[in-house]
Amino acid sequence: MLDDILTIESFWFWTLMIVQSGLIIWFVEEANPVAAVLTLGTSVISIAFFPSQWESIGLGGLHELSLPDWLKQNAWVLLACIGCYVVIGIVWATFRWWVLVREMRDTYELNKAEWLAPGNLRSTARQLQSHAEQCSETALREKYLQWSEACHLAAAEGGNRLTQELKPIWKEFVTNASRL
Amino acid sequence: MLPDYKTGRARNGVDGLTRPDPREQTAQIVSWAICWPWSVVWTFCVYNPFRYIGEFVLREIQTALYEISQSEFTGIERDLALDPPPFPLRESEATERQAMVKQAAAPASENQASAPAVPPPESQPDQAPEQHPAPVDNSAAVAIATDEPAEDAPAAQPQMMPQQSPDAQSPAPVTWSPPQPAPVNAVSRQQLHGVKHADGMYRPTYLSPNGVSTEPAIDPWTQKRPHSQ
Repeated sequence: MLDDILTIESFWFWTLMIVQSGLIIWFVEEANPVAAVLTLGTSVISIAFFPSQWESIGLGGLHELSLPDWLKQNAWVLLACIGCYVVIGIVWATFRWWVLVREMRDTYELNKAEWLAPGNLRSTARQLQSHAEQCSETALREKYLQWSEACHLAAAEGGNRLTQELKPIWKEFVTNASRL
Repeated sequence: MLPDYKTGRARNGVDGLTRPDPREQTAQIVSWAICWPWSVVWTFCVYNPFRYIGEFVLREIQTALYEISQSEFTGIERDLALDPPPFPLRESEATERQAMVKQAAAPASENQASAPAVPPPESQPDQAPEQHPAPVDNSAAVAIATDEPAEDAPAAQPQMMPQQSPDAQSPAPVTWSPPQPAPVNAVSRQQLHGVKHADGMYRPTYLSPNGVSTEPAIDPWTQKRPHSQ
C-alpha cells in the first residue's frame, strides 16, 4: 500500500507543491522576495519533471508540442495571464498594506485600552512611586512622582481616557519597550 | 512581517510602534505583489481581513445614513430644542450679538452683587416697569449662561463665528458643534426662579436686548405680555 503511494507520481508532485508553497509563504512573511522568487522559479521548473501532471494543471498541450512551439502558440494568452498576475499583485500589495496598518492600529488601540484601565493605572502609579523612591536624581524623582499622581488621579476618575497628563507616560511606555 | 515590527511583539505590546513607511518596506511589498496567491491564502487564514472590510463598509454606511437623518431632522430638532443652537453668524452679526450679550450680561453681574436690583436703575420699585417690546433672544441667554465673568461672555460662543473678514466675497466655511448644556449661574438662576421683590413675591426675570427685565417681552401676535401679573 505504502509502496503504491510512494511510486505514484502525483503524490510526489503535490507534496513538492505543498512544501514549495510553505517555503514561499515563509519567505513572503519574512520579507525576503529573492528567496520567494527563487522558490517560485524552482516550483515552475519542477513541473517539467512530472509530465503526468501537466494535464491536471492545464498544460496538456505540452504533450503534443515542444516548449518553444507551445510558447509561440499561446504567447498572447501567456502575456495576458502575466499582465493580470502583475495587476492583481499590485492591487493585492496595496490591500495587504492596508490590512497591516489596520492590524497595527488595532493592536495599538487594544493596548491603549488595557493600559488605561483603572486597575492598570493604579499599578502603574505604584510602579512609578517605587521608581521615585529608588531614584537618586531629583529631577527624575519629581517626574516619577508627578506621573504617579497623574495615574492615581486618572484611575480615580475612572480611567479609559488618555488625558494630557497621561500622554507623556503613555509615550514613555510605548517608546521604551512597554517598560517604565 | 516588517523587519522592525515583529508580529509576536505587536500582539503583546506596542513596543516602539511607529508609523509604517512604504519606502522602508519595499521588500515586503514586492514579496506580496510577486507571490500574491500564497500571500492571499496566508493572510485570509491568519489575519482574517474580512473583519476590517466589514467594519469599514459598516462604518461608511453608518456615516452616510447618519448624514441623511441629520439633514432631514435639522429643522425638527431646531423646532423642538428649548435653547436652539445659534445659527452660524457672519462677523457683523456676531459683533452685534456680542454687544447685545455684553449689554445684557452687565446688569446681571450687578444683580448678582446686590439683589434685588433687577429693575433698571432709573425705575422706582412702585412704578410700572419699563416696557421691553423687543422679543426675547434665546441665543443670547445661552451665551450668558456660563461660568465665565460678564466681560468674557462673548467668548462662550466662539464656534459660531466664522473667521472671515467683513469684505470677503465668499462666505467662509462655518464649523458648528452641538450646544453643550449650559451651567446654571446667577443669570440663569434668576431666569429660572425670579427675583424676590419688596413685596416678598418672586417674579421671573426676562432677558431682553436692553438687559434683564422683570417683564416678559410683548408677544408680537397677541400684543400682550405672556404670564403678565
